[in-house]
Amino acid sequence: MKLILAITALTFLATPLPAQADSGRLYEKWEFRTEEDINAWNYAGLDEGGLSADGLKFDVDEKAVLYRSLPEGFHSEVDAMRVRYDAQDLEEVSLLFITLNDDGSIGRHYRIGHIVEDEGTVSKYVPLALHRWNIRGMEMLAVSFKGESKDVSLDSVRFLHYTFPEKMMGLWRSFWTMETFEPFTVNIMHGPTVVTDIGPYREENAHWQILARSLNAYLLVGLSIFGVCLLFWGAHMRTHRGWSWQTTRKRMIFLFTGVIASVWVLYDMRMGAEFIRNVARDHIQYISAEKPDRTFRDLGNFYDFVNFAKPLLSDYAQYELFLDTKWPYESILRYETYPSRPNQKEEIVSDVWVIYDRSDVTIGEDGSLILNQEPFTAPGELIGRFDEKSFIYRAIHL
Amino acid sequence: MALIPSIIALAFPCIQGVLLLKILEGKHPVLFRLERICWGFLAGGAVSSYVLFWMFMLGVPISFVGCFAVQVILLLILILIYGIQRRKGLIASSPRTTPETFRGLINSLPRWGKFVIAWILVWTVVKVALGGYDLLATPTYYNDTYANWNMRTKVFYENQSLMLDREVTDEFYFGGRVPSYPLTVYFTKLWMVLSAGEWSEISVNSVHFVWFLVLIGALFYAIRREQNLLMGIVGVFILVSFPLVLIHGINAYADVLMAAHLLCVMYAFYRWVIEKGAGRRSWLLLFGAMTASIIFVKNEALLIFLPPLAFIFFALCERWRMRKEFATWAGMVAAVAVPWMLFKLTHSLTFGNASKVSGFELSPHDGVAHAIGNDLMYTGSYLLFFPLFVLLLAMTFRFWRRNALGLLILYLFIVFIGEFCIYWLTPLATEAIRHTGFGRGMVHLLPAAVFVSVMLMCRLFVDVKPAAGSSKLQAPKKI
Repeated sequence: MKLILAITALTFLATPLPAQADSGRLYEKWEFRTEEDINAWNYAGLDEGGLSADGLKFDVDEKAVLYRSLPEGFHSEVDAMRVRYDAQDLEEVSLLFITLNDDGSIGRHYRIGHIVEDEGTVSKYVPLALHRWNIRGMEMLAVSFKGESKDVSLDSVRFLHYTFPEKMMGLWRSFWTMETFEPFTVNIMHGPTVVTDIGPYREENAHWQILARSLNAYLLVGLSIFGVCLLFWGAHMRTHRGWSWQTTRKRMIFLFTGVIASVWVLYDMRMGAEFIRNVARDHIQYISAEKPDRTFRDLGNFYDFVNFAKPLLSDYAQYELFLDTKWPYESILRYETYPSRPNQKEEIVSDVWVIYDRSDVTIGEDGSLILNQEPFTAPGELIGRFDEKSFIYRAIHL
Repeated sequence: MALIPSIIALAFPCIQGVLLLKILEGKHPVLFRLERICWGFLAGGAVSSYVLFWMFMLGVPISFVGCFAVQVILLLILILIYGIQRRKGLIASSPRTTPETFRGLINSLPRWGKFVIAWILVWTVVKVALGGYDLLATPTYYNDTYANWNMRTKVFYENQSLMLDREVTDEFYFGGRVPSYPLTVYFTKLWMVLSAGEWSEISVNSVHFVWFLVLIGALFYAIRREQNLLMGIVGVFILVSFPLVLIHGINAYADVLMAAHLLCVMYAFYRWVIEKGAGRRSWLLLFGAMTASIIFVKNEALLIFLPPLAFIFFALCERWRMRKEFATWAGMVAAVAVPWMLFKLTHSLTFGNASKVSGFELSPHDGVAHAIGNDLMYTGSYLLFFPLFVLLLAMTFRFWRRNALGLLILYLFIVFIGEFCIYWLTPLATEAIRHTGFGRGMVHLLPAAVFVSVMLMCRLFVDVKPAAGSSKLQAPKKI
């Protein structure tokens, strides 16, 4: 009974909670609402700007940088930041953490970049737990805008603080955050990480696990300390209890390997749980799921499309592909439909078109394929339709 | 339905391999029965693929009839040799496994020990079984499977040709993608799908699961022979607990097959070194056969695994004045390596891994050491194995430096340093920095490293059990 209760409790605790936006306490807020707010910053590559409801508005010609000293207690109290800006049409917005040399020139710096997509006003979350090692000792923060655009705005920079229980909850969640089967899983598995952040960093950083500190680092340090303590304990027992060297050695080794074996078994349970969870996910989402709703890992319904396309393409030596991204779809189709195969060269060689997941490609009234209101094939016929966005088409003439 | 004829088809290389090993072991069989099936499956797959390759080159059609004829003739030849040898009294029955039974092991353990053994057995079996289910029930997903391992097989299958009549630059020359790769994986799959009568994903992927089971079996029996049943189970548990090995075990990549071959090669070498009895020559021939077969599995064998092995073995034979043994081994290896290398040279096929190494400029690449260190120390791929392995080596240094295990450790070290240098000094650096090829190289070494680790762990508590002689490194008496 105790075991069942323990497993139930563990399962409950192990379930990661949904991320809460800005769950931390606001430590400091830098906004652009008054002239005083503007004067608090230094500027480079930025000649003029004005206040608006969206904060400081300005034009960027190649590059503009706003910078100022980090708030007091930043390194000990601030755990995350949220930067709100509108940088439409720019290439990149980045945060730079800087130390200055005695002569005022930039010494060390560390950059956290965000590629700008056409998204209007955005609020980027920056978990400092992922960058803590790199920003230690930094004195200034710069917000850098790169590209060319008018009416760029920087609304605010917020500094957030998390309480100890919140950090522990974040740590627990990061430990139990499991990777799914991805194309890179066959090369590396990141394993459990230790991130004391409870904000929405997973949603905003696709590859956060690369930045996060591995649990291994803590385990190895812990085991090392334990090993050293064991040596002292052994020395103490030999001196004060008169244990023989053989007895001391045997007991120390037994204890040390026992602890390592326990850690190993628990670690294996964590990684095994990840593996079993992924197999279960495959079973639920693909193996036992019904078409057309079933999906497979990160490729959605692509494999069902492949099965749909294979017999239709078997009569054609080559076909043209129209996809959002080539990899891995093109290679998979090349394998699955062989000896029929996609044309991988620039020039068009086939009159058969395979369209997958392209809502912007349609068949026009004259029967040709249309992209951006422009026909790009001769009139032809639909060979088979998989869904609204995916079909196989054959142009009558090239 | 295609799975059943494919599995039946696998019996051919397995039986061929078992017969070959029985013939090589002769009057002094050294492998346990199930162990021989594991080793035989590996050796048989390589031998039958090698024979198929040359038969195809001689004009045997790539069809079910062609393959079936070759398989049956090869089988009959081996049966004939086996029969003659047996009639002459040159082949003896296999030794039984140690009298220790699983029931006996369980009874001998305290209550907590029973619980731990039950846990690691159930946990390991559940992971392997679920992995097998996932492999068979899901489509081909990982890049090298659909771009290389299965694709090249499909090219041979669909065209019923080795495609050597194409231009060297043609994307499907000799099957395409990595045409320099040896053919064990492709031809084993080819034989399976030809037997199934149709292309089947389940057929071509299922053999990888069998190879994983073979790896587990080979490791289990190796440790069991040297230590006991309990440590055999522990060794398997450690191996399956490596997440990266488990993933490779249940996916259609060739690295687990390579790892299984390498384990057998290293273990046969180790046994040859420590064996003092009449089985020594059997181990030598097994060592030669497994080394020869590894050449036809992956390119790494010729580039990375064979040179240091030959060097260590040669140095040992020189020291012990056993040149005849080295010549026997070298002859067996050369029987496969020389024709294969000549074929590669005459058909513009490269040497190296997936990329040829001959044209590389050597210069250090930044970030490789950091990436490799990070991969080995701070990822979940191998749990905590590598730092603990180094610690274990340090703790038992005085034991293994004068022990046959030291040779295996030296070999693993040379291979590791060699791989590191390849990534550090050549443009293959991207494979380490981007965490692609390097991890797979570690999968090759892990089973052998687990074997060494279990042996050393046992040494920490008790002396390593001497099996048919001491494992201390000393020249054996001439038999």
